[in-house]
Amino acid sequence: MSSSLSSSAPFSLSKSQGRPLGQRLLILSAWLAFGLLLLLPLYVVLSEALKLGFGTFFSAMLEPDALAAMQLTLIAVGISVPLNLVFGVAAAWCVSKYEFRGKSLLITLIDLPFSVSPVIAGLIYVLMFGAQGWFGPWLLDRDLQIIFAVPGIVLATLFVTVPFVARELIPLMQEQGTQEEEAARLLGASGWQMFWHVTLPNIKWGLIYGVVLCTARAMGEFGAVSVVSGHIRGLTNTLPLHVEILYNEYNHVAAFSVASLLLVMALFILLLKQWSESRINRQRHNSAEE
Amino acid sequence: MSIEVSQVNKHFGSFQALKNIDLKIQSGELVALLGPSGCGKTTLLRIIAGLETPDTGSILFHGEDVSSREVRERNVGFVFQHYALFRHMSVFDNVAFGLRMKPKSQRPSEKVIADKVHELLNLVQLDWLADRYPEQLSGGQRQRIALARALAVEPKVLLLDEPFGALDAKVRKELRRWLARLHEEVHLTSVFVTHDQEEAMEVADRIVVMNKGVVEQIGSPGEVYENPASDFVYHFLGDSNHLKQGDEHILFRPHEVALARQAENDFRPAEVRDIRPLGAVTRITLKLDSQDEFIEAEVIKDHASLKGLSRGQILYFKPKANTPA
Ligand SMILES: Nc1ncnc2c1ncn2[C@@H]1O[C@H](COP(=O)(O)OP(=O)(O)OP(=O)(O)O)[C@@H](O)[C@H]1O
Ligand SMILES: [Mg+2]
Repeated sequence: MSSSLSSSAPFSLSKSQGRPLGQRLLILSAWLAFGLLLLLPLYVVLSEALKLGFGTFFSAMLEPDALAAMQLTLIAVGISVPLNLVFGVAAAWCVSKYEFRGKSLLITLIDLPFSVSPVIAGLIYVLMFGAQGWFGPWLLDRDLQIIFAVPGIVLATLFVTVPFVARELIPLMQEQGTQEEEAARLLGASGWQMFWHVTLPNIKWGLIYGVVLCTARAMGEFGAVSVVSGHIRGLTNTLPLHVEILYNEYNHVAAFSVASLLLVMALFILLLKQWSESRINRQRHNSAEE
Repeated sequence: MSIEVSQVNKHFGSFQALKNIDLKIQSGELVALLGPSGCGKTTLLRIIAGLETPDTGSILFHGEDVSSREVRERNVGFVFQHYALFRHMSVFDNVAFGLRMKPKSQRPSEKVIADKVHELLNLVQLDWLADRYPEQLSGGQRQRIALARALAVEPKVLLLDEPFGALDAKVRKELRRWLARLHEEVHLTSVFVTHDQEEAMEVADRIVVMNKGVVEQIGSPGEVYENPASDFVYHFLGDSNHLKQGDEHILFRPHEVALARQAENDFRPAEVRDIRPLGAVTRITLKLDSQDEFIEAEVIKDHASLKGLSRGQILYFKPKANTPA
C-alpha cells in the first residue's frame, strides 16, 4: 500500500532505493512516540492490574464501590449521550438548513466546551448550583441537590461533550444541502417523515461516529466531573474518579484493574469508531462518484 | 388546473430577483420559462411550488389563493435541476415515496403502491432499473426517475427546473420530445424552465421570456419569434444580423435573406468569407465593405446561388423581412 503510494508520487525514488532517510526517520519517530506514549502505558496498566493474579483483578472490579462507580458512569453516559444526540442533530439542522442572524455566533458557541478547561466548566456549575451559588438557596429550600450529586455529574458530562455530535454533522449536512428534504416535502411528507425517512438515513454514519466519540469522552471525563462530584465513595464517584481514589490510597493493583476496565471500554469504542468511519468514507466515495 | 401568478416581487437581501411578475397559465398547458442565467426562472418556479415565499403578490391555483398553503398541501410535482433523488433509496422506493408518505387513511396498500410504481416506471421506460440506486444511473435515467417520482402522487401541476440541463445534446433532444408526448398523454398543467430557446420552441405551447427578473413577453412560439416585443426577445430567440443602411439599422435573421449571384435591384454585394453546410441548410458568412460586423445567411442546401460557390467570391444579398432597430 505505502510502496504503491510512494511509487505513484512524482518525486519519489525508485523502490530499490527505498524511502529517503528523512522520511524513514520521521515515520520511525512517529512509531516510537506512539509506542512510548500509548502502548507502553497500556502495557503497564494491564501488567500492574494482573500483578497479583486474576483473582485480585476481578475482585477489585466487582467490589461494591467499583460497581457503584461503574453504574454512575453508565448513568452519566446514558443521559448525556442521548441528550447530546438530540441537541447535536437539532443544532446541525439549524446551522446547515436555515439562514438566520447570529449563525456564526452559534457555531462558535458550540465549540466553547472544546476551548474551556473542563475544571472551569465544573467550577461554573459549582458557582451556579453550589450551596453558596446563585441558585443555591433556591435549591436548598426545595431540598434539591445538584452539586455533589448525580445531576451535577450529568450536567458536567453534558457540558464537555456538547460539541461532538454537532461538530461531526454540520459539515456533512452542509455538503448534502436541502434539495432532498425539499423533494420530500413536495411529495407530501410531514416534517417528521422528512426527517425520519430522508435526513436521518443520509447522516446516519456521521451521527454514529459523533455519538461514539461523545460516548468515549463522556466515559473518560475527569476534570469537570471531579469538581462537581465531591468524591463520595459508592455515591458520586465515576470510574475515572474511583481509579484516582484507589491510586491515592496506594491500592495500585485495584486502581489499575478498574483502569483496565475503562481501557477495554475505550478499545471497544475505538472499534466502533473505526467501523463507522469506514462507512462514512464509503458513502463519501459513492457520492463523489455520482 | 390553471395557475395564476399575480404581482409577485421577490428580494434576496437588497437584490431584486423578481419584479411585478404577472402570469396566467391555462389548465393543461405546457409553458416554458425562458431566459438567460440568473434572470429568476428558478426563483419563480420555487415560488409557485411554495418552496420560496414572495415578498408581495399571490399565487392562485384554479382561482384559489394558495399563497398561505404549505408546500406539501399544494400538490405540485417538482423536478429539480439536479434531480435530488433520495440517494439511500432504490429507484422503486424513490418513486413509491410520495405514496408511502400519505396519511394512513389515504395510503394505498403496498400491493397497490407496487403496481402504481411499476406502471410509472414503464411510462418512463425504466422498469428494469427498479432495484438500482440513484448513483448507479446515468443522468438521463435519473431525470426520468425524478419525473416518475413527481408523477406518483398525481399532482395537479408539474414544475420542471431545466429538466434537460445536465444532459448531452442528443439525449436532451430525445427526452424533450418524449416529455412533449408524455404531456399529450397525461395532460398536466406543466411549467418548465430552460435557457435554450430551441427547446422552448420545440416543446412549449406558450413561452414566457424573462430577463433580469421581469417578464419581457408571453406568447406562443410563433408569436414571440415573429413579433418579438423587445430587442432582448429578438436577440434571445435566435441569431440575428445587424445591417447599417445609411442612418438606419436593420435587424434580420440569417434565414430572412435573399441571395443571388448577379447584381439585382436592392441587392447588396458582399464577399463570401465562409460556407458551412449544416444539414438541411447551408450558412454563408458575408463581409461588407461598409461595416465590420459579418452578415450570416442561411439558405437551403441546394439553393441556386450556392452552385460552385467558393470563398472570396462576391454574392448579392437582400434582407427579406426586417425589423428596424
Ligand atoms: N437564496 C438566494 N439568496 C440570494 N440570492 C439568490 C438566492 N437564490 C437566487 N438568488 C439570486 O436571484 C437571481 C435569480 O436566481 P435564479 O436561481 O432564479 O436564476 P435562474 O434564472 O434560475 O438562473 P439559472 O438559469 O442560472 O438557473 C440570481 O441573481 C441569484 O443570484
Ligand atoms: Mg435555475
